[in-house]
Amino acid sequence: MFIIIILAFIPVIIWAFMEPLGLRFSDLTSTTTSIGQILGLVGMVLFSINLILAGRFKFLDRYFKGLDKIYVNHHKFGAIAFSMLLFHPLFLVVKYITFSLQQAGMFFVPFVNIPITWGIISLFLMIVLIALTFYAKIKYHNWKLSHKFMTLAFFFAILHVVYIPSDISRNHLLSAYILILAGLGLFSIFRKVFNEKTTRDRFKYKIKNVTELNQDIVEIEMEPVGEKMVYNPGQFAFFSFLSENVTSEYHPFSLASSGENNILKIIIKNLGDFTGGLKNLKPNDGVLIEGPFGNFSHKNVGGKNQIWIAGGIGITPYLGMSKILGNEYKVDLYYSVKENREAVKMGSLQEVEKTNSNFRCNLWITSEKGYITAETVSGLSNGIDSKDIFLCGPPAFMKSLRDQFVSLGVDIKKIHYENFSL
Amino acid sequence: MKKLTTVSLFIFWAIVTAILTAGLVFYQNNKGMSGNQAVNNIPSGPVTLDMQEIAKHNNSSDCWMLISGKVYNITSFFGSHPGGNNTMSPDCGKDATDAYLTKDPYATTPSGGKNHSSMAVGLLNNYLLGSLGQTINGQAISQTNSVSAPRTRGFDD
Repeated sequence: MFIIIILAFIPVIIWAFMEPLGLRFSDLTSTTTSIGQILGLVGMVLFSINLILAGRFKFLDRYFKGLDKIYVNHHKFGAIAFSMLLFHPLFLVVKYITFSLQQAGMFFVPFVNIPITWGIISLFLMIVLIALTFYAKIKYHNWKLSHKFMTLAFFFAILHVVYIPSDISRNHLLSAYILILAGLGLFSIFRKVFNEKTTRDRFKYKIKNVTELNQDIVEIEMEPVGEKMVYNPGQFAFFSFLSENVTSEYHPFSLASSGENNILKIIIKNLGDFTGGLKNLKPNDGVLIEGPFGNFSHKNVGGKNQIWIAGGIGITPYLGMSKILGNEYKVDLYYSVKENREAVKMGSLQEVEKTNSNFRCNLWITSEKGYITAETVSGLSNGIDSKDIFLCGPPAFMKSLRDQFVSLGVDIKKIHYENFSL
Repeated sequence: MKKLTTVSLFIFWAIVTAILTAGLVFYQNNKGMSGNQAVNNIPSGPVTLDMQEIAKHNNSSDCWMLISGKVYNITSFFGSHPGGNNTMSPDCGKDATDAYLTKDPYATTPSGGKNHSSMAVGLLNNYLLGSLGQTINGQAISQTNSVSAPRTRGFDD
């Protein structure tokens, strides 16, 4: 996070040393022009960094402690970069307004000036693609396809940067900095697309079994065809199913198995066309897996005394984690579901409970008892002091419980959750 | 983040729409005032830039001005001045230093009024013939005549 902010401000420092700051902010038009330039520089750096963040690098997964955190940052910095790039021309146009309104109007008309046209095309593409991200309710795979065109917007932005007469073109250090970062951004995306199109860095599995646990939830068991993926339970991976019954783009799912043997399990709730179609997968259908990613594991925190809370299908990471607990951890699991029939895999958890006296599983049925609260958890677990709390479930469920625990005085660092609530 | 994006997009479109509309209105109003591309009165031989020579170019279809010791041929700029042609034509063939510094075509002192922007100063350089007293040839004059209207030039950053 800090490194992103530092990287974004380096070009501003170079820019500030190019000319005396007194001249840069001597009057209204030079001040607005200067602000416009800074917005353009920082926006472009953040745009480049965002492409690198989207590159799904393992080293970034470790640095950010989880790919989910990377995507949260990608989302945040993407919105900031976009807003900066929107304001970039608005500040630059001020000097033309003071000269002539006609001149200012022409500033926004494409094909009047070629380098500006690259900028206009880039910004227009970005506006359309961001609107699809924030405001349109389109299917995930259509959105994912549309978001790939962001690379095209980025490419036009680079053309704009290279060909516009500006501080970047006048300073070799600044232009090298911006173009190297932009190059890394493009490289990250092309590497990711190349890896998706080929099977490089992918584990090859095949479907062993598909079980419908209830009408909405399906369990998929897979076994490796070649090398086995090594993972910790609680992590997640991206899966591409090679079957005529579903589309083959990659989707992220939590790993529900413990990783102790060859069988890899995921448990999926029907939330749309794609997840609904997964029950039609057949044994021996191929699977390509990219991963593992994520940091959600009881082993990654200091405390051995833990509380795990699952909301519905959020039980998946705990299924594998509970199996490898051993005796050194003391865990109270709360499994919140609307109705009893939704409590899939309860049997598996009860089995662990029988063999491990340090593991307790509490089923919480909201249609009978209302929503589970931090206070209830604290009461049932004899206090929550110095315990590590894990949350996994729908975004609103996690946010509500997190806030409740914080208001009970729990240190935010003791609360752990996967964040896909973009 | 959605809030930030929504607010930014709203401000962006509001300002862009306003500027494009204002620009179009301004363009419609100025339609009649086209620039003068063909200019007469180009001397064949060398010309000394003195007040007598400047005085010969005293109308909107052939307009020279002296500004701060430098002589400019702004004929092809007619039609592009944001204040309209009438702000420039009274000073054709004259020392327009005071008018330029004050944005008042009839100014008699360099003080008061408002100075031109740094961008206008940059534009003006496109129309420079030379310093007062300098001798130039007809080619230099032709060059300043063919400077295209600034609406297609001068964008930066």
